[in-house]
Amino acid sequence: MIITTVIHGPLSTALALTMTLAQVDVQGATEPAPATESATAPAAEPAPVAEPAPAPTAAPAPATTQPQPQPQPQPQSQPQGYQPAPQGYPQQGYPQPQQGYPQQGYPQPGYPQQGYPQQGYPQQPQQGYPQPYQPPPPVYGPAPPPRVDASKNNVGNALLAPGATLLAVGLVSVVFVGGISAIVRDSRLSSAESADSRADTEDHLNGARAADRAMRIGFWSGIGMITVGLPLTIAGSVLKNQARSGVARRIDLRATGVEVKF
Amino acid sequence: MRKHAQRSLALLALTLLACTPTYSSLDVYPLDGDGEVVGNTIELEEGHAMVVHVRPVSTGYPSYEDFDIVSLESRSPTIAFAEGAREIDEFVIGGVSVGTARITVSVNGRDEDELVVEVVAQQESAP
Repeated sequence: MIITTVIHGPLSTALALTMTLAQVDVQGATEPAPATESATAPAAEPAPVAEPAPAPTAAPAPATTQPQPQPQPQPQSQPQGYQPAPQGYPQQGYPQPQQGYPQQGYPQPGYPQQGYPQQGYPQQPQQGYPQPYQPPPPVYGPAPPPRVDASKNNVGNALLAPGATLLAVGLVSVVFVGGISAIVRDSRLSSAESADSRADTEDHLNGARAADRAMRIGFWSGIGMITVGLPLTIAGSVLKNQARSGVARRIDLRATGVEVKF
Repeated sequence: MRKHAQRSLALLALTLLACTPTYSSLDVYPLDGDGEVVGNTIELEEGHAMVVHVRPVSTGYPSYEDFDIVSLESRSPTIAFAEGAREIDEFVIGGVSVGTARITVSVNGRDEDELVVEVVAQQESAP
């Protein structure tokens, strides 16, 4: 028995080193062969490195007879049942320092790790139940300034709308009603002068008189509307522009963080 | 909106009234014939006729224009009559019998004033 151990010891050591260099079966190769099995195995058969041992650290081989293969670069605290995170797991934004997580803009010091699902992660294996996923609180920037619509300037619109209406109606009244009526009146007067009988003359004069009355009404009512509507339009436009420029100033001040109320 | 419409109608009515001349008096002067005109009174002999020019006079702006039609109508055509002449504001007034007749003056179909026509008997001419 002692002779067999002496003969087979260097052979087993050489085989183990060869398999370590070849990196065969990362999971199973880390487990050393049992001391009793390697001591009794024949020299031609390699150690069963592919089969996971039930107790990997409980039965180390003697240092003098069984040199241990170099362990694979696995984390020491990683349990055996570790599985990668599922595909649908929202890993975006989750701090994973070992994976080079971009930490810019994330509240690192006070990050609540309690809300992270603990299953399979080596950081806190002592917590035995997974906690529900709690997304990190949204980080808001500075509040945007409230939208102020310059078109809702009631004073400017209240002056501008009737003013523009009166101005437009007045211009139409002067140009179309007054002008056309004047043309009709002159035409009927010329016809009355060339009429053959008194009755025809009276007819033409009656028409000319009606046209003249329409011309006077259209002209003077149009002039009145223009007189009222033009100042209203100007005042409304000025007030609206002032309000718009005031809104622009307020927006600029709010962008700088200063708000002026007046 | 309703108040605005009422104001617009009131302005239109005011403009309409402002565009109508307001009658003040009559301008009557003889053109031809035997007779005398003193104010609104015309004196002529029985059987004679005269041509007068009648125009209304307005109190102010606007004044009566050429297309404002004056019409005369006698209330006593058996004493005196009034008919329109060739021109629109010229009339022929004739004395039918002795007496006093009133002639209604209308401007654009509206009765505004009246003329008094006194028809006197013919004076015998000296031999």
